[in-house]
Amino acid sequence: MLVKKIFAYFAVAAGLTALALSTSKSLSERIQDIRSYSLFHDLWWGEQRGKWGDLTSMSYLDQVKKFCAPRDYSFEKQADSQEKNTDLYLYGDSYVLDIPKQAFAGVDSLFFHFRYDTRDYILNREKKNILIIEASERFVRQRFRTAALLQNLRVKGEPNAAKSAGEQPHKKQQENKPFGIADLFNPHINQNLEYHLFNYNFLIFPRQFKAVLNYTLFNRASGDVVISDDGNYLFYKITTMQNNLCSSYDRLADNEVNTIVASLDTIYDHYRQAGFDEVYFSVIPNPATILQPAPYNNLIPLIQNDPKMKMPFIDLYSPFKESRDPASFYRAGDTHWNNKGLQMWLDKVNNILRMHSEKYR
Amino acid sequence: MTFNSLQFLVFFMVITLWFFRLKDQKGRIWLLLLGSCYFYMSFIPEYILILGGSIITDYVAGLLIEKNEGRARKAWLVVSLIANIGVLAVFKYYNFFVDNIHAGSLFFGKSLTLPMLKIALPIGLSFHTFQAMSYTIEVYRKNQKAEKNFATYALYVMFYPQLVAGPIERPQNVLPQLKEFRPYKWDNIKEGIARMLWGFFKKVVIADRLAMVVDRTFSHSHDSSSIALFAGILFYYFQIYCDFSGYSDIALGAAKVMNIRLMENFNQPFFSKNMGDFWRRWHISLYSWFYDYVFNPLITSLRNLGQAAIVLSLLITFFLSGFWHGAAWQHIVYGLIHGVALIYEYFTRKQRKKLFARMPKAVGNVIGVSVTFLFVVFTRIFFRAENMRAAMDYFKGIFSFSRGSNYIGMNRLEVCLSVFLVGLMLYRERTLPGYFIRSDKRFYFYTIAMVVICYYLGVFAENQFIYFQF
Repeated sequence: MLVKKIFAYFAVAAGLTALALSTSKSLSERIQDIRSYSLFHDLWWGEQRGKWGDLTSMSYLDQVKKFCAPRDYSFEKQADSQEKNTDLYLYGDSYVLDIPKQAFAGVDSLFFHFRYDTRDYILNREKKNILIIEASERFVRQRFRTAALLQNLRVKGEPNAAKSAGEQPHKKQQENKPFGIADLFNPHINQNLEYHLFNYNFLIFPRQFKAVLNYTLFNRASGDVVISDDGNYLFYKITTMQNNLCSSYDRLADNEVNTIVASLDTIYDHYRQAGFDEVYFSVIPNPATILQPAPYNNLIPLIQNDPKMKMPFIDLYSPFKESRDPASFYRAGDTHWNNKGLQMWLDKVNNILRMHSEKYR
Repeated sequence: MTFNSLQFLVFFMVITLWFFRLKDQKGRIWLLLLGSCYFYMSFIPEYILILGGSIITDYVAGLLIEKNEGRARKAWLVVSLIANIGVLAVFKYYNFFVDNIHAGSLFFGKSLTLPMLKIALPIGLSFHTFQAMSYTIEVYRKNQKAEKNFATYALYVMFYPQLVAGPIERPQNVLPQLKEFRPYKWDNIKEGIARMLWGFFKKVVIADRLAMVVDRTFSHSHDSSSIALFAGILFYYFQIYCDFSGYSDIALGAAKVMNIRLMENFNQPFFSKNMGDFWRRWHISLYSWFYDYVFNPLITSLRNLGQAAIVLSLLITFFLSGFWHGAAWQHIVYGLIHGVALIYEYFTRKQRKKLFARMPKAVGNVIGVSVTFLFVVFTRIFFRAENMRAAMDYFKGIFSFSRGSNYIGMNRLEVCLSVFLVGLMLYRERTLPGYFIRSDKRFYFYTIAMVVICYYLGVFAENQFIYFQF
């Protein structure tokens, strides 16, 4: 009886702790930081994060060889050795996160601005200031319906304040935000619970077994991942759903492209006025857009061919699409491109940077 | 917090274990009430204010109805009904009316545009407002005493297992159980957990698997073959059953663990011999609600019209039941078609009885069950389609006998597994309802087997239950 009582109290306490831990964003992040140590040491309590691709890892299909393609980005060669007279501001996401400054032609300073961050910048007007806004296709409809980006990447101060050019860390507004009722309810609580309770290397076998079982019997990947119709690629499920803004197949409303183009124009005008010499927009197509285009909603061509679009486009959709082997630009088990895709984008960006550099001289 | 989420599993464990550690009923009521608030607020926290507002209104209305007689008594009932229907009208039906007023004005050559509300429908709104209304109506009818304890009344509306998708309870059944201190009983725990596991199985293994076929066929109705489209709608009937009855099983099981018995919502509807029989077996708590509070009062007040009273009462009742499911024309059409079917059955009951008397009983049963089954399957198209045009396109696709794609989103092995699982579900519900809890050994075996099966064959994509949207 006493054992049962103790067990009941222990279970209640453990359950409440798990709920509290998974609700608190800061606590969850802290635990994630601690556990990230295990990533490099292959520890039993480490989290599962495969080296073969984010989708392979999410679907636990690490055992299926055709989905296993390692990250092969290569930046061994410098773009060129010419005079460096450009400050490049790159607003982007994980596609361009790892590109070093040396890979860009003529770039003296590279300011990479991850899309979630909020930062203030002061431009150095003695140099060329180029802004490239990079977005993976799945975020375009959510992110560029409005000009909300202007709140994240902010240009401050006098345009000629050359001495203090660069990044100014932005004071987080949330630090002083009072505790509210919404803080008791975290929309990601289930993902956090799964992470805290089950995402350990020693618990990975049942998951991999389930994944392989479902793949072998039903040709199906689990959770947020789907297998392409030809069976050779993994796609992020939200990019193939019929009713999701991230999807390549979700129907575009008539006025939606107009709205996106209008907000991109607002963004363009704002940053040109703020002192940038040029602002470019670049959309990286979803793998499903290129590799399984049957019901594609044509989001990228509709935006880039819109006559009202002021912002110059770094077009990756057309060369990917026209390539004889479009599959060669993506990793089979990842949401991202491979080195070939990345290098094609870099070539296009470097041509633009060289052009500006020459004009400048 | 959906029942098929990790959050719910942890929440359920905490609440249930804590519940049995408390030694007085007052504490248990407050625990369940606070737990239910957390459960409801985990969807959209602010909407607790709407629910709280309607609980306070109905609690006060119940006391005043009991206190008064005559006109005042009726007036307080009307206040309660207006408050509940008003909330429904604003949150669920306002945009539908605005849309139709606009379309109607265009028909007459003018454009009348009213502002649309951009708000999400509070989860389970139709369920808890109907449950609240049944309380004030029963107090008005003197079948139920007004509840003096506010926490107990609030828990009657908010009791988390049935808060967001029913069963729509009656105060006579639930309130006495909530007030009584109910001791821990191992048999109840076994029964409740076995039922919850069965509900999880129906939801994650069957319903969410069939959903993949249904979603595909409804989004490819233009290029799928007639066979694929028929398979899609056939699977939809089983999907919605497993989804909704799976939810009900989890709700009834979770309550049973705490020794609270909620009303049954389903009784093997696939074996209905006619449409009247079907509506006594499908979503029983809703249709008994409509029977008690709409159909019966209507037929009493229209009794001078003779048989027309039956026709009118059935049409109005089923119009409202269709409208209850969603503010859209396809739901209204779905309700009306079923109403018309019941009218047909009423007027042909003698002829049908004679006809079936001439054939062996088993043959009559097979014919009745098959016709009813197919009728429900086809009318479900209106229930699932996004709008009337999509429903008509789907019908056209089935009956055009076109040669589109036969692919339904599954390979053959998975189709076979799905058919096997549906067969297993029908067999288990018909013949083995209490089999696995007769001994502890069987229960443990069943529990382990269900956990393993649900894990390995379950489709976990955090799919909400279909009836949450109502």
